[in-house]
Amino acid sequence: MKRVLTVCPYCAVGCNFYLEVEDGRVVGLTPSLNHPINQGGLCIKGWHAYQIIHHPDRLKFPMVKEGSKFKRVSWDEAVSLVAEKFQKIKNSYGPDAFAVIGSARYTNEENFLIQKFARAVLGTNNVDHCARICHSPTVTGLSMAFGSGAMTNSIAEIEDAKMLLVVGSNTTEAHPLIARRIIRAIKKGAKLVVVDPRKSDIAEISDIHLQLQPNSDIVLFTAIAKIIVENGLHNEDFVRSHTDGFDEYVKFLKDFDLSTVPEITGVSLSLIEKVARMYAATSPSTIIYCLGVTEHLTGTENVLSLANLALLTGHIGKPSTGVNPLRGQNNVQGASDMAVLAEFLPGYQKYTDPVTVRKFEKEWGVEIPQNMGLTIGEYPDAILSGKIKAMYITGEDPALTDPDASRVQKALESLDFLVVQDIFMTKTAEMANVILPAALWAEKDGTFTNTERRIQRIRKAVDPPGEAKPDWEIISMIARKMGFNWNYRHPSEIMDEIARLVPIYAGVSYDRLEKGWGLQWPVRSYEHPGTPYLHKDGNFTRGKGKFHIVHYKPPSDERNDEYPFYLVTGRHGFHWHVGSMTGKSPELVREYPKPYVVMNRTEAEKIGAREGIEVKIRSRRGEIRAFVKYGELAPNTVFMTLHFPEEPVNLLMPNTLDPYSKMTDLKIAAVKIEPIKGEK
Amino acid sequence: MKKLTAKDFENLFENWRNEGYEIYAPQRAPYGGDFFFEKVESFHQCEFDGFVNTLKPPKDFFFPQDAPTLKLYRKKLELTEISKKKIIFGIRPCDLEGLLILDKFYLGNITDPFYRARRENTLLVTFACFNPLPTCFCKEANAGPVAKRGFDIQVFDLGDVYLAEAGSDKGRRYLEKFEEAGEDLLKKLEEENKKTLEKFSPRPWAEQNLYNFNISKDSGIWRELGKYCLKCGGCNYLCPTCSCFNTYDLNYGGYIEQRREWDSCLLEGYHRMAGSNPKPDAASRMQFRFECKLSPEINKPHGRISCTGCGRCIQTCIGDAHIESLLILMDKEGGRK
Amino acid sequence: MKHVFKPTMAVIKKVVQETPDTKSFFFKRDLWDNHKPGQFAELWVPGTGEIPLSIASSPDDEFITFTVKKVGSVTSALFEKKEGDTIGIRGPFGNGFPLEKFNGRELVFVGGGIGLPPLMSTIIYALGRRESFQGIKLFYGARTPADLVYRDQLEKLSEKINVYLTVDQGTDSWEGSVGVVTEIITPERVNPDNSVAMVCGPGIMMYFTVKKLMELGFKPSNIYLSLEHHMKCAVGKCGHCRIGPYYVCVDGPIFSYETLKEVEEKFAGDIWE
Repeated sequence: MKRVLTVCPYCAVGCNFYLEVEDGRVVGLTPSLNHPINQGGLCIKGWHAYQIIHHPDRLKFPMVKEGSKFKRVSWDEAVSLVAEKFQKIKNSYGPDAFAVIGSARYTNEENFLIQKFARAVLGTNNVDHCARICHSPTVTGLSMAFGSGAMTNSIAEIEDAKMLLVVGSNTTEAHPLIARRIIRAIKKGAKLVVVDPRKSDIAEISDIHLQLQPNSDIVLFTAIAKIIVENGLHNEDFVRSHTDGFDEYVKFLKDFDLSTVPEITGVSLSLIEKVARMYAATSPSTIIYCLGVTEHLTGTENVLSLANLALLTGHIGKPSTGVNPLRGQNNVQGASDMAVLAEFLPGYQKYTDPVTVRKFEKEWGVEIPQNMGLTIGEYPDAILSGKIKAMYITGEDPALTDPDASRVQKALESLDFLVVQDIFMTKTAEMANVILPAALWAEKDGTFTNTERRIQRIRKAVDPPGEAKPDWEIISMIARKMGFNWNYRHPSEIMDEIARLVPIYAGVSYDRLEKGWGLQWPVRSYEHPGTPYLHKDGNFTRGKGKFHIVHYKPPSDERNDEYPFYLVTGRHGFHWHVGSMTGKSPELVREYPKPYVVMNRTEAEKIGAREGIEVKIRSRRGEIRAFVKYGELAPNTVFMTLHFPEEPVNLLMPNTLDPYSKMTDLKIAAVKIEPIKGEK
Repeated sequence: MKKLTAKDFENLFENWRNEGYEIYAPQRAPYGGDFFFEKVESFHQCEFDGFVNTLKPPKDFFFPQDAPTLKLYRKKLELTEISKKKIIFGIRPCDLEGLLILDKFYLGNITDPFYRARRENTLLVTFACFNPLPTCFCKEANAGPVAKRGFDIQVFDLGDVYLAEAGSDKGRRYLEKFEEAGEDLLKKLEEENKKTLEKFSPRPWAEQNLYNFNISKDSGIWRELGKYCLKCGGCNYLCPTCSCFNTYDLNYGGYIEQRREWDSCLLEGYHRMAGSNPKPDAASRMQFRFECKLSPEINKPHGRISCTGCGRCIQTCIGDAHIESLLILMDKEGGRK
Repeated sequence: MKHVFKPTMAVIKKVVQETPDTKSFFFKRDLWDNHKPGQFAELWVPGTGEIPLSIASSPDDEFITFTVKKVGSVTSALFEKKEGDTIGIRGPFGNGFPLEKFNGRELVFVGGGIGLPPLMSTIIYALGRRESFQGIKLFYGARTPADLVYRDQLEKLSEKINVYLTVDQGTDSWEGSVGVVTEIITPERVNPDNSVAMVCGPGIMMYFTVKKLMELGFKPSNIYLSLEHHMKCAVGKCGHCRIGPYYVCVDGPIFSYETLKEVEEKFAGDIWE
């Protein structure tokens, strides 16, 4: 039996396991005991990751839509059609008539090619991916505060922190192997404070649970900052030597009115003070956060308010400290690093910098666009107003996963030409003109970058089914048909190009990745060992850390009498996103077969519902159904996961944009809930 | 007790291969270096250096992680019963005891034909342990570090020479031609075995609590463990005695496969029936799992507790809800006598 | 030895719609030699899955019958099948009601909703051996009149034995009792000293029925329950139906309440769920 060491395709913790191959089929897997990240453990999704590979529903052949049905065609036909149509549209309407969506699931090499395709072949900066609606505020916010938009410390360091402030993260379900580190820290005597409107499993084992009203994070963290400064608990030396903007920040804190805090947040001042003292006085203290912080209208500002706390106390630039966003998808960090993002070039370099532009133009042999591109939240309007005529969507399902999903579906249907590249027939794929079957992670070589910036090798275990091909080959085929000389023989060659262009990946090459456990960027040169934690000893990437004054803004979709609840969305531990992959594993589907909404028991009874009955959930944008489950949440708050595509919760969510990062206000919608008539 | 050298084993391997056996022995996997039982052709391909145990238990040979049972194609129904002549060379005493428990379970009154097919024609050559890991407690679980039963051959690796004893007629036949071990070697073995017992991490709470399972249904212990269980399924998947499975179908158009995969009783869905769940909370599922391992009534047919001290659940648990946590909680609650 | 996991591919001979969400499926008698009333079989809908179903027909009957309520993916797929379609059947499994032990006693059957089929199989069988028993009585309740299974058979049955029916919610045309099934089991109607009770239905119904029977004076050793615990492999191997040291598919599904009482107090799980 062949044992192929590779990385898990689900979340961004980047656990390693061995795929077990017999007669060309993956028959099981075993976690790696030696690997420093997961040390022999895996979450339930990881244990079942192999079940997607040989599933009967895999796309095997290129298809072209004729009328309302799909017809199988050859690769040559499909690629020629795509190239021809793209060329035509480019000639008639210009490069910005295109929008390209890359995938947080693809390898670094493939994401690099996707943005290169958009910029060098099509000539547009309209390239984006789902990080926009997930951690784009992290990239923007932490860059503004520290100069680097990524997790500052490493996963292994978490277990040695003495105080952990976990904000907006259902860690035990969304990142179980990181929760393992938190639990180890607790068992070693650390204190855990969880900030979440919902009493999640991690809140159950916390020392203090701040059950705040959704969206009131800025108020909470500014209050903590004020308490820290007023009691002299901040790190004066650190602030004086390593930060900018402290004096203006202190003035802002002085004017901040603490008396409004309990009402807006729903948390008492005494509890907030306890947490403030705990965080400031314990060392090392670390902040871990996830989408509860970022997926808001004020997502970037929420991140900045957390960054301020780290700067105030000096809990950064040392092991087991820092501000640590838990990225979601297996390679969303890599997709961001490779700039499948409208505002960056690979490595977070700016196309507003002429030196950078010259570097890329020299390597690629073509002029690259320098106007700001459109982001995911802006595509539906641009399509419906006729600005965007064609889209190339790879490895994502925006029809289900983007906010205001029905508007997105309407937009996609009205495109002149839609090319979808994926492994299963998704809702988005159903609307395509051309479908290109892609290989899975287990069927190709490449690299993923996990949330702690660790670049790891994935390795090919089996061949893709039918005629499916690795994405890097498909994109190259289309580029070649459009006249570009893309002749990569292996992903390692693409990584070599990345190393030439991206300073933080400068020392990465496949021969270095052959041994050891990957490299954490920045990897400044071939000899550089990688970087476990950033901003060492207060030397921030931008020089000095910067304080930012941020103000509370209510959510874009506010509660009122007609829509009295806030619906908060999130994940549970058994499914991944809209279940296109986890839906193929019987033990995962068995856990939660039906869509459910979590409500406070008294609030459920008040509207005439009880556990197990079906209710209608309506927002200003749409309506879905789900079964009631009891739970403990902040008053007038309910919770649903996005895992049930038959009742797509993103249909209900608003699409207002955070001005800094263009993140959409995806986490909260005001909803009305009613039992369905006829239920007892 | 016979004395063997590496060359003797080379000959034995050739002998076995001529008899049509496939031999599986420990080898490090490429890139990660984790140990697995892989097919080998010769003795020198075995990698015993640094080998304590594999993470995936050898139960995988007989009760695989995910394999087809039935195949239906155009009304023709086919059973996937696979039987191959094989030798598990290097199985550890804890896994051997685990296998014997699985044998009692699957080959009893009602026999599972799929397990039986895979289990037959298997020769078990166990290697006694001299270097337990900190997570090992086969000593307290009465399943090692030396195997007492169930093997065809037990090998003791004394470094420059091997000692081997037969545990069955087949084993005796293979060892016939080798020299008897002299007194001095037998004495050395006794010393090494004694030394090994000192190497185990002290677990003063283990002995008593493993054999006195008497926790009430509403004990706070279950709630405490349930709070820290992250429902990863790892303990069940990797436990050498866990035997539960889930059956599911795959529909490939005209061809349908019924398959069997490892299941975990810590998952809510395992217990749920149409409309109700007898164990809706993690606490009751914790009791379900541990009573299966340690309850005297449930384990009567096996003649021993269903835990062999292999320590895998301790290695893989991502929360803090493995058997060691249970025994420590039992100890705290019961007080040590 | 019979291969316990190999299904017999059987043709559906007849399908009858019993209630809006319940259907009966009829198969030829030669699927197996003989079964005992109270036993169950595993029905495999190839491509979807396998589920345990009580055998609703008596061993003397000319067909082998299963009465199924549509509650999940496998039952939904089964409902799509028509006469002439083929599905896989394994069985019979389980222990069945120990009628040999009840000679000379009065048999009191209490059923709820979809719990009637296994009891029906036993009632018909017992009727064929009427002389062995002092008497046979049936108490049966469902949510609404439309949910009562086997209406016609029950009418015919009431000519031979005492059949007491009730519904939780009546309709205008319903003239019978309204209330839960425990309300119609009254002291005048049963004699706890010489009776044996056999109960089958939803967990909560069985819980209250057992309570009522004990209040009326039944001893736990004279109350038998047919448990519906999540059986899958039906041969005591997959582990899902284990309660304490018993496997519902092998040691049950029929248990005396005396046995269950001990299990309920000590081992994990709520037997009434």
